[in-house]
Amino acid sequence: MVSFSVNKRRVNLDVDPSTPLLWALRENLGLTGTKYGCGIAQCGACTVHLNGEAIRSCVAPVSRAAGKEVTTIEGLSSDLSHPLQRAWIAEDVPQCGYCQSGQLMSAALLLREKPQPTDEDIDEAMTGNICRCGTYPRIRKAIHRAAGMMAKGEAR
Amino acid sequence: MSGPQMERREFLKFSLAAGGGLLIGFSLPEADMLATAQAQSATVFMPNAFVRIGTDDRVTVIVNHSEMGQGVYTALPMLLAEELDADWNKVGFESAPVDPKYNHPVFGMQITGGSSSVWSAFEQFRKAGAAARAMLIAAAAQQWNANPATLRTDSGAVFDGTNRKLTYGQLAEAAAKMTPPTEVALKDPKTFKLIGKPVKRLDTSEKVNGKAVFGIDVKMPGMLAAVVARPPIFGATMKSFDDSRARSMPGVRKIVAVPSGVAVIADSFWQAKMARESLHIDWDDSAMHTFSTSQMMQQFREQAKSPGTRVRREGDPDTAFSQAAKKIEAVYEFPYLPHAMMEPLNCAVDLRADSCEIWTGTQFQTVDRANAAKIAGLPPEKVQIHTTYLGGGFGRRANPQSDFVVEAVHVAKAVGAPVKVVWTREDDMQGGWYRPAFLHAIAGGIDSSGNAVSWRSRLVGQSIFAGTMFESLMKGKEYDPASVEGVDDLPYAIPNLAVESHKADVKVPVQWWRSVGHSHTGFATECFIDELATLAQKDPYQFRRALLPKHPRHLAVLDLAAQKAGWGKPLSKGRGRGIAVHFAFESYNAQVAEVSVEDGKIRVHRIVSAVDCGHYVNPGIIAAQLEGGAIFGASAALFQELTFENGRLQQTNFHTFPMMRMNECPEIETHIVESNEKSGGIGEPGVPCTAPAIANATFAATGKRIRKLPIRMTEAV
Amino acid sequence: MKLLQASFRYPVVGITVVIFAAAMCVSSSIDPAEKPSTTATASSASTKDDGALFTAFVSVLRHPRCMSCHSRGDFPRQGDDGHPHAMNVRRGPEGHGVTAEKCSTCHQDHNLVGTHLPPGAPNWGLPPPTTPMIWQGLTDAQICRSIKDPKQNKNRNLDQLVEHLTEDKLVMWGWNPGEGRTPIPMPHEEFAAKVKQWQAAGASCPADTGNKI
Repeated sequence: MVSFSVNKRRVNLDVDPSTPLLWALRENLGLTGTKYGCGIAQCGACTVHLNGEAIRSCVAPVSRAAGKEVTTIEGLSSDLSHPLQRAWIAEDVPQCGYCQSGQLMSAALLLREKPQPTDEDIDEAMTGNICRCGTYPRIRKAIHRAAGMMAKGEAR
Repeated sequence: MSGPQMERREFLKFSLAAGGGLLIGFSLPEADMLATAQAQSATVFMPNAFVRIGTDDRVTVIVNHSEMGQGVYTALPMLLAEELDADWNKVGFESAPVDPKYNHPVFGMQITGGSSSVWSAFEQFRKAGAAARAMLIAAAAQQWNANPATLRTDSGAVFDGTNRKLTYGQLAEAAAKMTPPTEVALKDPKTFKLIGKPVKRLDTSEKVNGKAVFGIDVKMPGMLAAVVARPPIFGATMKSFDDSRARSMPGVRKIVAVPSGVAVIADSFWQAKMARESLHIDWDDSAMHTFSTSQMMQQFREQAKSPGTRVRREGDPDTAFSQAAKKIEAVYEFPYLPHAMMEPLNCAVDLRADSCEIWTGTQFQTVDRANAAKIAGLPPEKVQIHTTYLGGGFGRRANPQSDFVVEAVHVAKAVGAPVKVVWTREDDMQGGWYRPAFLHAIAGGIDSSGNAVSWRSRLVGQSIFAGTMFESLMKGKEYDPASVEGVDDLPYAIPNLAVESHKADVKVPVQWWRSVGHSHTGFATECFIDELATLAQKDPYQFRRALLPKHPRHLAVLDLAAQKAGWGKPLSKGRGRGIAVHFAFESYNAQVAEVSVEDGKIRVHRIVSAVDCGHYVNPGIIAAQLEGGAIFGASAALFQELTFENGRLQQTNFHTFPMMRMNECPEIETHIVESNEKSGGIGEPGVPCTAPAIANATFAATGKRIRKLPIRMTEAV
Repeated sequence: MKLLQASFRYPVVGITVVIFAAAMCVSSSIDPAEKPSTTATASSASTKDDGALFTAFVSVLRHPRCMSCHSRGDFPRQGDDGHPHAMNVRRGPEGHGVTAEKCSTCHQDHNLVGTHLPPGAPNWGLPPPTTPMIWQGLTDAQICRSIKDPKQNKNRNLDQLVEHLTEDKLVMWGWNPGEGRTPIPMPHEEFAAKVKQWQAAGASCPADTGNKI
């Protein structure tokens, strides 16, 4: 039994503790917004927050989450109000959309630690997230836009 | 976004045995299927197969093309909503079920490919919207006892001369009783309110909150998870397997041989994957166990030394080449490439005695249904495919054998419960159906004034049609049109021209890959024309211009890209600019790349891409497709290849098959030519020019020519 | 300040790094040829150590498993060729990466079973930027002095230094680096014994040959 909280909800899971957190989230908890892309921490599609830090859930055993707080894309906001979600919509970022949960979760970490990121900060935070459709230019713009919204106090 | 790209006329001749007839021209599918839905909810208005209007004013557009990022769930509803005069804020979408009603009006089957969704739907969806609008007006006219001709529509409502208003929702029930019109008039494009505007995509919200359902996300009660152990070498067959350890692992329900390998079915994906690792399988891999791509390319080089099948011949290329004042020969090489969609292949199946329900992200519904029906032992009508979002397609999810669907039906049959087969990244990358490896041997010459006088291209590579249901398209031709597209219509005015094709007999499964033949012909032709320009000591942009007198649309995009990129303006030290222009999928694209090379590594700083895709629908989506196309093309140019040694693929995952990443991504500028020409494609046309523009820019920066992809400066000449 | 060019698949261009050695050649990978020759030969324990006891185990410090985090540049490296870590990973303010690309984003406190998976050990990371402990390009003597220098080694005294070298789980990972990675060839017991021998003999550093690279 592994106990932790997901998006502020307490969960107890009867799974093999070595099961990657990704599959526990997707298959045991039905939180399919977090995606499987590579299984070896190369693409970032599975990015979630563990106690506020970005992790690749495809390689993190669910046991690592024990007693901690996990936030997935479903918990980024309940109503699309997160400045990054609003910026993503404004810039029409997603194409196929598959990698975007991971992109957003990485970007959220970036903005928390660097609320006014430079392009170099974006390169340092986002290079671990692959997008096959090629939405990088729009992700970059949307991060700057979200930072602008936060600076103007338009968002929390 | 790729698919069977062939002349449309050829497609018209073609009809798929299973899956229905051919729709030529426009016809609005009848509402018989929709009548069922209306019976369930009498308050809903479904004038035809493409739109449904509820009493709540919601307009739902049923889209018969798959959404894989290219924006059809926005662009096609825009077409319909334009003629319907719908309130865009109330417009939604749904994916169409498999039904001949939803066949591609030109290709005669339900398919998303060939960058054809928008142009094929351009009239179809507008007419569907106009027909619905006419019925809503008729309903209002009846209610107000007015002449329909005196009524107008705007933002989801009908108005009379005194501005009395009835919303579409208020009229839905009455409109459902109206007779659908046989003829509808379409708007004058000058009055378009939506078409041509950068309308925001309708699918973004659910793609930023995790709610969008991709095939891999599908859940159903009692569903099991499966992975399949497939042969490590193409063509290998299973001799025997030992599952004694795997069978006792937690969650494992069944381990069973299926035609594609050994299926491990468990309660969860992870349990199935763990158990698969404990299987011991004895394969007979004798078919290809000595295969190597380096040897294959050597064979290709040998083949290219002799004349191939004639594809195109003008003038006397051999004499002209021998008499040319200056000449050059170049061999260009291209590797196998996987589609590598971010969402690995998967397919969920619920097979019952008299029905088969399939959930998957597919580009090829009609074919998949026919192939699935054969395995299920059911008539195709008993098989339904629910098309989910596709986490990328790029052609892979339009497989002529429906490999990932057929396999899942086999697994479902074996396990007797709803099951989802999920491919790991390694399975997906090693699963075949790649862009074929190719070799182009080109010889060309110029006269003493620097005019191009001869060009001979010899191509060697596998056919993507041979051995598939599309083989009939090659009838009467000794070559595969998809192999030579983009060079068989070389636009440059060169008086002596030959294009020849050699088929390669290799058993690696190959398929269309975003931009298909253009993915290599665009590179070979645009690099070689650049080499000829250098031979003639002319500016590569001006050299191309002079050879395009009869191609104004090529010229327009070339000029636009050159101008916006500042062609000819000084660059900082170490940087070079390169240009390329190409016609593909009914659209024209030109790109200028700016690169520098340091320590043997290419850095792409900027790409300017200009397109003429005819009458366009959504410039925002077009810009996104050009950006994505350039990044897709740049990834292939800079990083990507699949290689085989001893029959085994050397690349397995993104650590050995890299993608362009954020820190490597250039600044990308896109420009669209205003045009009233027939609408063209956009998903693929933005790919072919990127690699040659980068290679030509590399030459400008370093004086080294790139003749092999992916680019390695150590191999530059 | 000097530009460092990165190689392999992920070009990292234009990274400014602080260079500590007086004259360093710019290189994209850790070249074993950079190991300076030494005239000293390993000898059995003697009370009068001329530094030979240090050079007897310095090959471990120069091994790619250690050099990945003790090389030039504000980024970790990977592989036996010492190519820059994929994904533009940076040292970061504490040696644990930055923002959404921290070491713990992908690395656990243990190796994962299977190939091509991120390796792991407790406190996975690089030395912090204040004490980056860069050995690449240093002579044996310079490495020896730097690891003993409290200003460079996070204020470790000799006992603590020896403990780090011989018992720290992150250092010990070099002998058990996970599937697909070359472990440090010198057995750990031998390494630990040699380090302790060196300590016992006074932890002398070899004479500087002047062969700075």
